[in-house]
Amino acid sequence: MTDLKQAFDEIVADENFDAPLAAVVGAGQKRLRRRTWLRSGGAAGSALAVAGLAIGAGAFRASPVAPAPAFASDTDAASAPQCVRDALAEANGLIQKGFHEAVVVDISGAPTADLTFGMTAGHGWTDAKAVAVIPGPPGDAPTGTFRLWEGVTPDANPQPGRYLMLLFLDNSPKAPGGSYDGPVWGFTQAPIFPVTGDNISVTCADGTQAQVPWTDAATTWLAPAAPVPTRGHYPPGAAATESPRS
Amino acid sequence: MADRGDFDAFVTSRYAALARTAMLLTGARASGEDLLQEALIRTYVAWPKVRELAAGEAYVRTTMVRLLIRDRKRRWSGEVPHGDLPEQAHGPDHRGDPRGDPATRVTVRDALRDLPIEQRAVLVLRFYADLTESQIAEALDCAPGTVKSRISRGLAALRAGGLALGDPVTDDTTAITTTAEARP
Repeated sequence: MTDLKQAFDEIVADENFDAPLAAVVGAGQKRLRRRTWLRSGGAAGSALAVAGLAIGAGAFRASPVAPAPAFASDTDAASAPQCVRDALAEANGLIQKGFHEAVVVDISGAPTADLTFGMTAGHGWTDAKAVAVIPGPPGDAPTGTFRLWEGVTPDANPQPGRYLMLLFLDNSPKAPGGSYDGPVWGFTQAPIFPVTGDNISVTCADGTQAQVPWTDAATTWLAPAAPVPTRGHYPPGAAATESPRS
Repeated sequence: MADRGDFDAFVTSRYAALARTAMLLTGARASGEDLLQEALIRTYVAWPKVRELAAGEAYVRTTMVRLLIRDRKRRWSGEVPHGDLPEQAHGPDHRGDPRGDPATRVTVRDALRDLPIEQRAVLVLRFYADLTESQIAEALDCAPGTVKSRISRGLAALRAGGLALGDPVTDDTTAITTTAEARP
């Protein structure tokens, strides 16, 4: 006879783990910076954002403001400039490996609502509207009007408009004896692609810009076989590596 | 940026325990650590919103389970490298092994591997993490009845797979429930 609890204990009894604190914190800070940098790049960033250009530590950034049309052209993802393909691959990596959902979202205004979800609280939108969900790996996706946490800093939030955003479902435990008031979604602040009609706008750091269709994204640049970033999910030296079976 | 200083202490103190849970959830050490570290990164980002520090562990655990269910590609399948060769299970005498019988470890690990993720998660949370059914229901955002049925089906599947489960686990979860619910 087997005691299941004892068996579980025995399976992991010999396993010792060292917390990769620096790697976790480093990756967390990087994720925060990515969220923050989109709309809070300081004076230079603001000026460039108005021009519809992209700045940041990375090679690209999708601008949340109306893009300047100087270099815009309709193109398919495969023939887009390299920096645009990098941006699309970044988004696809979040879909294929990062548990995100690609959703075309209408943002109506500033995120003024007080949101509470389980043990978390903050500000955001109660009226974010899911216009379309790009089919992807199995998972939850928002429908209709949904609740959306604001960005890390208030000035990092999208202006009213329509965007293709990478969303993830918040994972907050309930408070003891409490209840949920519906799920709240979060968004990755880079990349965010402004949407005009059937196209998204992608703007690179050097000003290169392209209009790429989003309506067929599930079978093109957000397809499972489409490119994803080749770099690892964690900084060099981190304990975590891609599982050979994943 | 909000103060995240106590996040360091939280990770340092709870990483090993969470990693063992993650290892059981995924079936392998490497994928377990992948899962845990992604959950910790998300927890780091959300840390200012976690209003009660004591909820940190529950937050990470919930995140891990939801990520696991979300990413079914991490399903336990294919070759799983591990240090204990199955042949060792047939050794002459393992009564002196503080880890118990290697055959049992391999059998349970293999049987767990074949379960659907939802059933595997509730069994690990229930019988390893010592969560109550209501706590599991909160973590998975489902009804307690759903947790009970998943536990029942999971145990039945383990039995059907040839695992002989002891009475305290198979037929009476009261003792474990009482212990878990008595925790502070």
